[in-house]
Amino acid sequence: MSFGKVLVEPRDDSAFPERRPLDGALSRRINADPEGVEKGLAQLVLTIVELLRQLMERQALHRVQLGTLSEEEIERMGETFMALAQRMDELKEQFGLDDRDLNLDLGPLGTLL
Amino acid sequence: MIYVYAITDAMEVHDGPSGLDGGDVQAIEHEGIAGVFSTHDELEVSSDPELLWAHERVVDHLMDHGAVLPLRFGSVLRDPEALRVILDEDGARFRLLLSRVRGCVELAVRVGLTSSEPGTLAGGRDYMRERLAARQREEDAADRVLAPLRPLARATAHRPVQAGNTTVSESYLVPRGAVEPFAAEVRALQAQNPGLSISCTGPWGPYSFVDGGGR
Amino acid sequence: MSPHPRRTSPGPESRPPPRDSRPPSARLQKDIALIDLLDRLLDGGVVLAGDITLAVADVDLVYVGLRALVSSVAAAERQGVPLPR
Repeated sequence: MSFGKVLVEPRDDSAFPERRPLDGALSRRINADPEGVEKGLAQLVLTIVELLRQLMERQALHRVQLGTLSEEEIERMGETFMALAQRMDELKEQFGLDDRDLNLDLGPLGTLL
Repeated sequence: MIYVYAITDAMEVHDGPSGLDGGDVQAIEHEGIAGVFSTHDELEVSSDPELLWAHERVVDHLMDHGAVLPLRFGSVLRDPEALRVILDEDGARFRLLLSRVRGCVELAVRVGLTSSEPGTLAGGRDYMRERLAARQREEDAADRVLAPLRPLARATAHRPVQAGNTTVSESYLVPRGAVEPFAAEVRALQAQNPGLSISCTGPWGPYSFVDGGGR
Repeated sequence: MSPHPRRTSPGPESRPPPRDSRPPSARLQKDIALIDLLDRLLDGGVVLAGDITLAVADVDLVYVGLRALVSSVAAAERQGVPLPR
């Protein structure tokens, strides 16, 4: 099935940044054993936060492009997004998680990427 | 529970592939449009490639027989009656969307660009400005490289890839008969742009053109 | 609906391979097909799902419409269909 869907094969996979983390990430389950519960929960929460952060940032950029925001609102949103991104980095470090770990399978919600 | 694949005006949903977990594909009809589903006692809906391809196989088969609005993966309802109620309440919107996609398939094109690093940023507005500039660079690249493809499609939809990325991803709603000329044009674009990596996959169901009329 | 044996449709494998002078890179093709499929299945298609409003710095940004399960119950109640409690 998959081969028939490629009409024009690319030179390389540079247009597919998801390709590397994809291995093994698709069927990854949230770690539910007692030792891993805290890390598993952190993994889940951070994945959702990252998903929402990207979604909101995308929407905010759209509003900026439309010109419907005041300078003050843009400044405040930018500060918030920067702070969110920084906090995400800190939390990831705290729990020993990297971007690959956040590419979780959330069932019907799909994967982060 | 039922797992829902698509909404269609095709009246032939049988004699096609089975659905997720080998489930029989069935349809419930309401005033000329049908909801296509399979029934399960239990179904673990995960991003397992087997399940994803099973969903798409059902959608592809339906597209051979009529206009199709594919559902997002993982759509589960209580029973066929719940689906019939949706067909009743949203019938007008579905009919409009069906007419928009009739006779067409979706083709996916990606372009890989060279990356650029953001500099250090002084404050909120600088951050937003840099993100916006990166976004505009992507859109400019898309416009320039992919412009010849737009006239071959009934509609175009930009698909965002990861934040801060260097990839352009576009969807095109293309009449079936125009698929091969479209692919030929993509090959030509690749030949003309040796520094870029361009791909085209499909035909897919018109996923990018059915919720709110395209992104 | 009469029962019928489960079988898959002929499928795209029966189509001739893409007209390309390079030998096919099977793994690359498989991965990019899956990624483009995922992109569509998980982020596209008709949505039968939920209402959330997300706000950042007091600016409302995202509204996702919530419907199906709620509406099916509401519609059933309107029609006087008894529902299990």
